[in-house]
Amino acid sequence: MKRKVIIAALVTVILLLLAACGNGGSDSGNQDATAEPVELEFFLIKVQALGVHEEMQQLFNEEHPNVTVRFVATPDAETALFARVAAGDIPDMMNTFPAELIYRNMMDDGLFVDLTGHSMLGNIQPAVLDLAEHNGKLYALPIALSSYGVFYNQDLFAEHGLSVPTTYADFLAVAEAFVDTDVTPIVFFDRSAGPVGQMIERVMSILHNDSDTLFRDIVEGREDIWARNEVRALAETMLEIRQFGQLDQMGTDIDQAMAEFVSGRAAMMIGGTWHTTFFLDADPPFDYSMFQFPNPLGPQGLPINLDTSHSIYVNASCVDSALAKLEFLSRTEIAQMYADVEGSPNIVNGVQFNTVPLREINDDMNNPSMNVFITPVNFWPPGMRARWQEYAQLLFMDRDVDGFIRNTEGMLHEFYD
Amino acid sequence: MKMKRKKINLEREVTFICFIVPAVLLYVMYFIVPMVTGVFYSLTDWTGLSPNANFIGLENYRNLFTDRAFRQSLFFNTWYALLLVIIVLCLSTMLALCVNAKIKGRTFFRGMLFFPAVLSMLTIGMIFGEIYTRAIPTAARVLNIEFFQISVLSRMSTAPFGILFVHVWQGLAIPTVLVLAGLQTIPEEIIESAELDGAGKWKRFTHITIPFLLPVLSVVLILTLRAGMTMFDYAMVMTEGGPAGATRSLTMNIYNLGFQQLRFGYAIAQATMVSIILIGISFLQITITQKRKVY
Repeated sequence: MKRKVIIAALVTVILLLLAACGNGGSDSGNQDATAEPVELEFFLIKVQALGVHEEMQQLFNEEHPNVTVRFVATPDAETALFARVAAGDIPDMMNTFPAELIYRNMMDDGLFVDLTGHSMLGNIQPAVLDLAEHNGKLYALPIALSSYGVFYNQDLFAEHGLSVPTTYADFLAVAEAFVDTDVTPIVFFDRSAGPVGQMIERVMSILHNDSDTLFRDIVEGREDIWARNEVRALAETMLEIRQFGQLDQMGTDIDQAMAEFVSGRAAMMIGGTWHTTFFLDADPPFDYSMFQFPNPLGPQGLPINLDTSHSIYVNASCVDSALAKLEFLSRTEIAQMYADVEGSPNIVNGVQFNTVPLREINDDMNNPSMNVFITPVNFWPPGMRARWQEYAQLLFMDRDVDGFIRNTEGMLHEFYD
Repeated sequence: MKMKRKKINLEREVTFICFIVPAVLLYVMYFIVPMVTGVFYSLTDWTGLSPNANFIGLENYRNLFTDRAFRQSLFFNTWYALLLVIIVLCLSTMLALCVNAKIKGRTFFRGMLFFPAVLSMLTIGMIFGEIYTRAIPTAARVLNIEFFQISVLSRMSTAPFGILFVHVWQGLAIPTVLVLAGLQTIPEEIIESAELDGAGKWKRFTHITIPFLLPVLSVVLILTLRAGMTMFDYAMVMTEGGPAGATRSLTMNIYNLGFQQLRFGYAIAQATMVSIILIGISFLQITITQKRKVY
C-alpha cells in the first residue's frame, strides 16, 4: 500500500513537471502565471548584445513569468561553447552560425532541435532561410546578417573634401589624401589574430567569390596557384594598403584600432558590420559610415554571412519553453529592439533599419543588381583561416609575396588533403 | 594479549584505509581516468564536438613527425624553457643569497620578492602587454629611441624575449623562496669550519652551498622546466602566438588544434607526447642529481 502511494506521488510529480515544461510552447504567448518555474541557459556568442537580450527577456517574462533565462556571455565565447559541447555540458539555447561547416557537423550529429515548419520561420526573409538550411532542414533561427567593408569617418572625409571611393584606385587616392596629416589614413590591428584572419578571408572572397572551389581545384591539380592571380593580388593588396597604416601595426590590437578610429585619429578602419555595436557606444558620438572594400581585380562583390542566429539543444531542459523564447525573438517589434541596439542588418520581416552608419552597406546588400554572396569561409576546413592568418602576419613583416603564395599552397594541401 | 594486539592493528589498518580511500578515489577519478581516456582519444579522430570517434591507431603520433607547426612549437618551447631554467636558477640563487644575508629590512625585501607570485598570469600578461605596446613606445618616441618606438612584441626576433622577461619576473618568486629555505638548512658549523680551514667565499659556495642546495635546485629546475614547456597564458594574452607564430608554444598549438581546428584526437596526441618528453627529462635530471647530492 505504502509503495503504491509513493509510486502514485512520483508519477504525479513527473506529470506536473512535464505539464509545467509543456506550457511554454504555445505560439500565442500568454501563459498561466502559476505554471511551474522553468530555467533556461542561453549561451551568447554575440556577447555585445547581452544588454538588449536582458531587456527583451523582461518583456518575455510579462508573457511567460515562469521562464527564467540565464544568459551566459564570456570572452572568447565560441571557444567556450566548443569546450562545453566537447564536455557534454551543452546549454539549452545558444547563438550559432548555421552556414558554417562546424555548426553543420553539429547539426549532423543531432545536437539541435529541428525548427523546420515552425510558424516563427514565416517571419524571416525566405532567401536567408535558404542560406541557413542544411539537408533541407532548419536547425537555427537566423535574425541578422553581417557584411564586411571599410568604415570611414564622415567628418574627416568632409574636412578633406573626399567622397566615398568606388574603385580600388579611388580607395588608394582617398588614403593618400591623409598622408602627411595628423590623421592615420587606415588603422590596422595586426596583433589580433582573429580579425587579421577575417580580413584576409573576406578580401580573398572579394577577389574570388568562391575561394573554396578555387582552393579545391588547386589542391586537386586543376588550377595552378602560381598561374592564378587571386592569391598574389591578395598579398599585394594587403601590403599596398598597409603603406597607409600607423607606425606599429603589428603592435596594435583590434581594441586599440577601434579606439583610434572612434577618437578620430584614424580616418578609416577595415572591419565587419558587427563592430558597429562598439562604435554606437562611442562617447562623444561621431559620424561614420561604411563602404564596400573595392576589388583590386575589377568586378565588385559584397560578402555577407549569417550573423545572429539561435539554436536549441535537442536535450534542453524544456524545449517547449525554448521554442516559445525563439518565437518571441522572431517577432517584428522584438527584432526591432535587437536591430536598433546590435546594429547589424536584420532579416525579420517588417524591421526598419535604423542604424544610420550602415545604411549604405545595407542598401548594397538589398540591391538586386549587386553581386551579394555568402562568404566562402563557411565551407573552408576548420582552422584553416587561423593558419592563414599566421602566414599573413609573416607577409606583413617580411613583405615576401612569393613566400606567402608558397605557404598558402602548402596550407591548402595540409587542410584539404 | 596477541589477539588484542591483532585487533588493534586491524582497527588501525581499517582507519588508515578509511582515510586513504577518498583521496585515492579522487585521484583515480580526476587524474588516472582522464589520463587513460586521453590516451584512448589520442588514438582516434575525435573532433571534440561529435559524439562519434573512429579508432585510427598510431596515425596521430605518426603525423607529429611531419607536422611543421608542432616542430616549430617544440623548437620554440625547448629554447624558451632552457633559457628560463638558466635565468631562473641563477637569479633565484643570487636573490636568495642576498635576502639570506643579515641586512636591514630583510623581511621587507623577502615580501617584495614574493609579490609577483600572488598575481595571476593573465593579469600580469595584460599589464605587460600594455607596457610593451603603449607605455614603452610612447616613452621611446619622446626620448627619440628608435628601436623601442615599435613594440618588442611586434617583431618575430624580440617577441619571445618580451614574453620571457615577464615569465622570469613573475616566475622568480617561488624558486627564490625555495632556495632561501634550502640555504637555511645548511649547518652553520660546516661553513664556519670551512672558513677556519681557509676556504674563500667562492669555494664555500661551490663546495658547500651548491651540494647542499642540489635537492632544492633539482625541484626548482623541474618546476621551471615544466613552466617553460607548458607556457600558455602569457603568449595568449600578449601575442596570441604571434607575430606569425613566433611565440606559439606547444600548449597554444594544442589549444588551436583542439578548439580552432577541432582535431581533439590529434591535440591529445600532442599533449601526450609533451608529457612523455617532460617525464623523460625529469627522470634523467632526478637520476643525475640523486647521485651528486650531499644528503
